[in-house]
Amino acid sequence: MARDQGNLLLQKQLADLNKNPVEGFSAGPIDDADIFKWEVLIYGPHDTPYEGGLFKAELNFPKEYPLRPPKMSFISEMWHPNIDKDGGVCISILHEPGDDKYGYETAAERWLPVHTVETILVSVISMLADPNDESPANVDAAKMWREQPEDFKKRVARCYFQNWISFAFWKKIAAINHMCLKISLINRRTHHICKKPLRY
Amino acid sequence: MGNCLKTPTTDDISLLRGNDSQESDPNLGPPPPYQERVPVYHPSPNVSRPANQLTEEEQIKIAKRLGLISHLPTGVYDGSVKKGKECVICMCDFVLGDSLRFLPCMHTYHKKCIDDWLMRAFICPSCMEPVDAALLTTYESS
Repeated sequence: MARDQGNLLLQKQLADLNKNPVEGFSAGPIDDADIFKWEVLIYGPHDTPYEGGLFKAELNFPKEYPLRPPKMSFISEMWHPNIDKDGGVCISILHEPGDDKYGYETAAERWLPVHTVETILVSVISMLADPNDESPANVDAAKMWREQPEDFKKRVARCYFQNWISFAFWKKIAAINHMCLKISLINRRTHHICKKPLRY
Repeated sequence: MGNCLKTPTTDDISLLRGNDSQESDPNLGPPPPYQERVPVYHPSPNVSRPANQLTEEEQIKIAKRLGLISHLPTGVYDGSVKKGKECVICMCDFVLGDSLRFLPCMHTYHKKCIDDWLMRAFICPSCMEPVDAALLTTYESS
C-alpha cells in the first residue's frame, strides 16, 4: 500500500518535471522499471565556486516515501562542507522525521512529506551556494571553505574539471549551440542522448 | 452468585476426540506458532520498533500521541472549497466521500495520509506548526 502511494507520487512528479522543467537541474528515474531510483544532473549555481560545473547524483527513495526521506548521494566527485567524502548529502530536510530527545534538530527542520524531487533539489542547489559549516559532513572541506576560500575554489574547480572530462559530450553540444550552455537545453536532450547513440 | 463458566459435557468429548486423532496421525507436525501482525512504531528519528519491543518511555509517548490524534476532528469531503481541494501528502485531489482529518492550524489532509505522518512527527507538514501546541491554543481560545 505504502509502496503504491510512493509510486504514484513519483510518477506524478516525473510527469510534472517533464512538462515544466525547472532551471538548474535535470532529473529522471535511472530505469523505467524502478521509479524509486532517480538520477540527477545539477548545474553549478551562478556566483559560486561550482559555477560552470555539472554534477551527477542519485536519489534513492524508500518504500515508505513520502513518509520517509530519500537518500541523496553525488556520483561525481564533490568538495563541499555538507557532502561527505562518499558523496552523501547531509542536509536537515533529508533527515528522518520526528523529535529526537537530544534536541539536535527540531521536527520542523527535518523531513516533511510535502517535499518533492523539486524542493529537495532546490534545497541542495541553495546548499551548494551557501554551505552550513556548523555541522559539516566533510570537516576538511568546511575548514578550507572557512580559512582558505581561494584554495577551496581551486579544489572545487579540480573536482568539476574531472567531471567535465566524463561529461565531455556535453561540451560538444555546447559548442554546437554557440557555447550557450543552458540547462533547458540539457533538460530537453538528456534522456534522448542517454537512450539513443549519437549520430553525426 | 451464578457461575459463568459453563462446561457442557460435549466439550470434554470433543477434546478427547481431538487427542485421539492426533495420536493416530504421526505425520501431522506440531501446530504453527501463533503469529500476530504487530504494528511498527517510530518513537524517534531512525528508531522503528514493533509494538511489543518498545521501552516503557516509548510506549507512553506513543499512547499519548494516539490519544491526541484521536481527538483531532475528522470529516468527509463534501465538495466545499473551505476544506481545501488537495491533500499535499499524496498530491491527490479530494474526492467526494474521502475521509479527512482537520488539524488545529486549519490544514486538511486525507485521514490515512496524515495519521501515518503524525505517528512519525507531530507537526503539520504544511505550516510546520506543532500539533500539540496548536491544540492547546485552540482549547484556550474556545
